[in-house]
Amino acid sequence: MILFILLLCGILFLGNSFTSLFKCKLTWWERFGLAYGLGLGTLTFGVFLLSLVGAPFGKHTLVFALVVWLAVIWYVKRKRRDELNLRIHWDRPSLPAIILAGGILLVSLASLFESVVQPIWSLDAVGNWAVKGKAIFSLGTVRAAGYYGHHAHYPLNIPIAIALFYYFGEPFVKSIFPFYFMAILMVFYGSLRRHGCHNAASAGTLILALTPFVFEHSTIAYADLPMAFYYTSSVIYLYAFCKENDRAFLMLSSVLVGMGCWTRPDGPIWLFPNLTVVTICALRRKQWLDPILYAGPILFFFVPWSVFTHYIIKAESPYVDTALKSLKQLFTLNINTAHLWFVLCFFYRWCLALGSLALCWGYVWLLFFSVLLLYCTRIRKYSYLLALIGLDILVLFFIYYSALLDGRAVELRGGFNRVTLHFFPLLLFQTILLISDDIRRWRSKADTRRSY
Amino acid sequence: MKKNGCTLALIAQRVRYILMVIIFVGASMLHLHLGVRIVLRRSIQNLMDLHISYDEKMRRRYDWYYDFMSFIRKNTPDDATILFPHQFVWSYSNGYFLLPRRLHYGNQEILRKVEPPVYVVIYKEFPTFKVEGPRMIHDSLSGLIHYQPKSTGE
Repeated sequence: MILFILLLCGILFLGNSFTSLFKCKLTWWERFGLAYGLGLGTLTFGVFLLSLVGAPFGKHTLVFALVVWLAVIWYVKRKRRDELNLRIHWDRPSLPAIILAGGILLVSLASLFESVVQPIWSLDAVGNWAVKGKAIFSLGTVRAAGYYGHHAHYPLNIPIAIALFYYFGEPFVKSIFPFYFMAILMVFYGSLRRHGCHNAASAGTLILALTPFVFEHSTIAYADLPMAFYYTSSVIYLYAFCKENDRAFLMLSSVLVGMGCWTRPDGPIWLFPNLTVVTICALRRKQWLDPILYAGPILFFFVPWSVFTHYIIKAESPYVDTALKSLKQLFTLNINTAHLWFVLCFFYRWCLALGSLALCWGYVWLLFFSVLLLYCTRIRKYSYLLALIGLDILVLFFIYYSALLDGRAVELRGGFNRVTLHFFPLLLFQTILLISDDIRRWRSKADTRRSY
Repeated sequence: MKKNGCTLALIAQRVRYILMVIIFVGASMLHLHLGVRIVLRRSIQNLMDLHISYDEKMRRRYDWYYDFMSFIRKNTPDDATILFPHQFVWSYSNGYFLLPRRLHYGNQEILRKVEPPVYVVIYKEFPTFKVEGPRMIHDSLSGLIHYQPKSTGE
């Protein structure tokens, strides 16, 4: 147990040191949430890079990877003459915020409790993510992951993390996911606070924590929640860059989306919305370097893994062919109307939370569309964030359409639902921002009236 | 006229604010009600499962398959090679339950290539070829053969 706590502290320390490289003005909550995700991601990536030069998987390699990363960070900080900033800004929370925080804490504990009590049993967890992690742990080499489980081309962030936690036994392995759950809640809450939302931020975080599908994924060993953490955070910081024009946020967003590519095979497809918005932003501001800067960290995480899958284990992704086929269909306007109609009907049921879909999606879409309709005059203010969400929907539409070409219509309801896990935090984030504007205005009006 | 316009805009803003509060509170309540019900139900289930063993929990999910995997695990050493019939190739979980044992799928060709100790899974009609060695029976459908070929020199 003491060793497990030490490992967690090591991950958090690495993640916090890595986050501090970006010099962003982050809240304490965001720093803590990012520290876990970035710490674990960089550690697993370090182990993977060491395995490329022949290092076996073991405690020594883990410690070596941790020390090398810390040394690199320390060197960069020393070169830039950064000051060590340990000051924590803490403002007194209000009573409703305390009550809501209690609710969020209870849900997080329930998720941690379930992950400790229930073994890894979900089909994809046992057949893909956990089996790869167990293979790396038992056979002592990262390459073993290529021979176990289905989809050898899937990235290894989660399998290596699972292998790492296997040193402490199976209940500890599943704790990776509730920690990601807490991290996503912290980043969500902290960033809303940074944008000036207070009680609404707490309410939004509680809604997110109690979304059935998000909670479900915090208790099973799938890579979808970690992917949602990386992608959601990347969009949140990309929006911060668009709003404040601070390049530190741009780089942070880039690293996060790069780690998304290192987490799930659909990671690269979500680059499209982000890169499009960065390019639009660069064109409007005449900052031509921004898209190149944004692509840099993504390539750092993406290229080694691609080289590994193409040239070392020779595992090609079947999705690339399907995606190219459906792109060709869309560009030549040779669209299959039956497939199009099927996807549109699915979206309609999904957005209105009809039938069984309500049980997993809750009422997030309904909330988002109602609030957006109510505040349609303020769309301009959030044009970048809304553009990101819109492009995400377009990508999702494309994924669904491609899946139908592949004859996987049945999976739309089950497996493919998971691909969209990051929509919950993004839609709620936008909803809370829209609502908070109005709440703030009415509160300031009331204050002015009271002062008279 | 201008005053009337201002008042109308103010009324519209107020109506919007009230509508927002109603929609936000209504949808949030529906959502939270759903979420709380699910989290509570699962937490109660987890509390009830606290005293249940790992094997029993896994058996609840995987039934016969988990029992068979446990049987193979108990009767084979860690460095064993296990030959499965082809239909097991789709069950990606085999590795999860049997690691670090090496798993192969196919026919007797593989038996010549692998290092001992080697075990062949009995499942329905499989193996369709002759395998020498002691047999361990799991149930009427399945079992295991410890492959021990007679050396040709004897």
